Amino acid sequence: DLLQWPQISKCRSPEMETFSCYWTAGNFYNLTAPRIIQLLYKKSNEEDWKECPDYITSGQNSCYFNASYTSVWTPYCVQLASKNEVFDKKCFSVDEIVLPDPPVHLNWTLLNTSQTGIHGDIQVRWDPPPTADVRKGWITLEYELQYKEVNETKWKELKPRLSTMVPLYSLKTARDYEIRIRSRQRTSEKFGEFSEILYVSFSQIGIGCDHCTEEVEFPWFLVVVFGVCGLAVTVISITLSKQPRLKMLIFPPVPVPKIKGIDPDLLKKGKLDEVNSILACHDNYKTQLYNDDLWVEFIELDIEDPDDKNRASDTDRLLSADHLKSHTCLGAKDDDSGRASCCEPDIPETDFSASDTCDATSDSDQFKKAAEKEEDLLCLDRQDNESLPSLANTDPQRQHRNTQSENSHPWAPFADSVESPRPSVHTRISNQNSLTSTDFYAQVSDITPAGRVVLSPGQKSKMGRAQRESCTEQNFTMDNTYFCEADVKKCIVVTSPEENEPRVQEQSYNEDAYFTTESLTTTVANLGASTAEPPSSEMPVADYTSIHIVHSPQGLVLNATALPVPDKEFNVSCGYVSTDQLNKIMP
Amino acid sequence: CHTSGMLTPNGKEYVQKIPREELTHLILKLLQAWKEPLSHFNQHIEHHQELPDDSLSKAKQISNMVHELKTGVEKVTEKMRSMGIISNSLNGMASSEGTGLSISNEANMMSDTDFIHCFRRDSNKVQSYLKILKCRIMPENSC
Repeated sequence: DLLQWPQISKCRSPEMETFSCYWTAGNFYNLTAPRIIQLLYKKSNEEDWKECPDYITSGQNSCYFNASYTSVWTPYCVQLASKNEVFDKKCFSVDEIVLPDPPVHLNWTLLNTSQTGIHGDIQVRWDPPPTADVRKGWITLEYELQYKEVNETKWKELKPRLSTMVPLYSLKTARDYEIRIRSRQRTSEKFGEFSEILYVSFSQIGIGCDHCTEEVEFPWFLVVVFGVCGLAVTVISITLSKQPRLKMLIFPPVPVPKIKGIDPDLLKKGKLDEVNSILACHDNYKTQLYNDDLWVEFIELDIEDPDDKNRASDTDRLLSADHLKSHTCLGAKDDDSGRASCCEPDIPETDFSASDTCDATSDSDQFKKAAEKEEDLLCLDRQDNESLPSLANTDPQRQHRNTQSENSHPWAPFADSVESPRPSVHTRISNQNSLTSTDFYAQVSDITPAGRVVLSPGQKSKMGRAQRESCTEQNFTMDNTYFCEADVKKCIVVTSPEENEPRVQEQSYNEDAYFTTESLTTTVANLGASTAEPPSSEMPVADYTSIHIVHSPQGLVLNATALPVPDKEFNVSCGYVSTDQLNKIMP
Repeated sequence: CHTSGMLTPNGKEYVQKIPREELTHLILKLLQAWKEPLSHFNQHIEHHQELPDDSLSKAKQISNMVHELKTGVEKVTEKMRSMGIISNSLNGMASSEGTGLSISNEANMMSDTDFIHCFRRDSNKVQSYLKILKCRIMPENSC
């Protein structure tokens, strides 16, 4: 058995004039030699421990301190000891341990009954505990009353009050009640013991209504049913009412979330490039476009050559069709799609500041395909269901490709290295499946917040010229705009920023001018596994190929361009066919 | 507690035995002794960020109550003197002011819990004294 030490269980003062301490002896007496347990006490300002003056009055294992030993607001310490062995110790002051006795003399009187006789009010009275001197005001007591029906289990509590009487309202006369009260000192928190239970029975005084057992409860069910019906009728009548104003008043239209300037239907069903072009109006989207370099391509448009019939034709097509296109793609509709805010209605401008331009991508494979077919550089086709017959034919191109290994420029790093906001090219979806002539495209240099694509052919040519002048020793074909990266790298020119208005990434344009097959080849399935293999210098490569299908932001399916296989006379320095060369190629 | 040095009756009989003037004087002395430490305590806990706002407001409220109680007791004392219920012993009042200042310095060095503990005890004391005093002066009112 475990040895249980003697412990002081509690010290209590019922009236703030005396106090008693109680302890438990444990099994100490049984296990060891019987020894005398003493309770010693000490006031805070004393040195010596004194023994308990009265072991008897409060009962077994207790110590009673009468009024002469009690000083109320003085700190005491008591300890349970036996021959210098201290078992337990407690320190307190008397005003903290006040637990009053229970009230006495509970009784109740009937106040009144209801008209039906079912309910009644009673008044409960009691006396304060006799030990507590409330009369002199030495101690102030609070009382808490609890009552319940006889066959209930849970007591209902009233909040503590100072008065010694309390009314209880609306008790059922048919039932019997039990009441109990306890008290506490007003400034403390602990209650004393409960008083004896007071039984309340209405039948004893002759007003018990045994036959009125049925209780008329509030007809909640009917209330709910009728309320719901009325509300439904009201709602239906309002919704069906012809008066829109009333309807608006009661049921205001819920505003659907809407990005300013964006048609939610467009977001759901529109093509990506269209969405992109719209969203490019918002600046924070623009940067994402720039980072999405998978299908960004750069096309250079040689504006300097007005004799180019093809370009003119393409220009016309761009302008005219684009004009139409702008209305179809991003036309200034009257709906709240907001495209009008992005698109300028006056699209046809010579600087190709169209909100969307036709882009074409160049790929070596595409070029070869184009050599076999009469295809033009196409714009991005918006409809996905357009057939792509030419793409499947990649075998002869692969042979060619294999021979082009010497000029394998690292295209990929270019694309990846250009982190700066490259102008993302809005691929314009063209409804035209075939172009009669080669189209030439300008490099998109900027996309204005208004949604206009600013092409920079001039700067490009300027830059090209600048580079040309500085790299005169270079041997590459200096037509005005196209250079290989390799050649460019040899004579990297830091173009002055003021020459190119948009930004300092002009220099990167040279690199960006070249299409990154790396990015394309991941998605162009029909092209086979053509990795970043630039076309060799031997093979004239179609610079631009129309993108036939946009599968996803990652996917481009390219149409073979209509470029025939160029003759060897074309001095393609690194696989790029310059504009002039292309002009010669294309009919 | 900084008021421990004050000689106050610690039992009901003693409180009932001492003359009313002395009891009144004791009450006022106690209230005065807490005036300065309470204001100092309020300033002290205002800088405690972790205390909830209602604690701070409660502390201020308590300070105000103590001050009002002291003012009220002074007024009642004046009234009682004028009515002859208690005799005039003005010198007792003057000395209470002086001792109050010296005691309050000691109060500033207490910890917060001790401060609250002491204040609770002294407020209980003041309440009991006032109750006894009231029932001694006017025994018919709910005594």
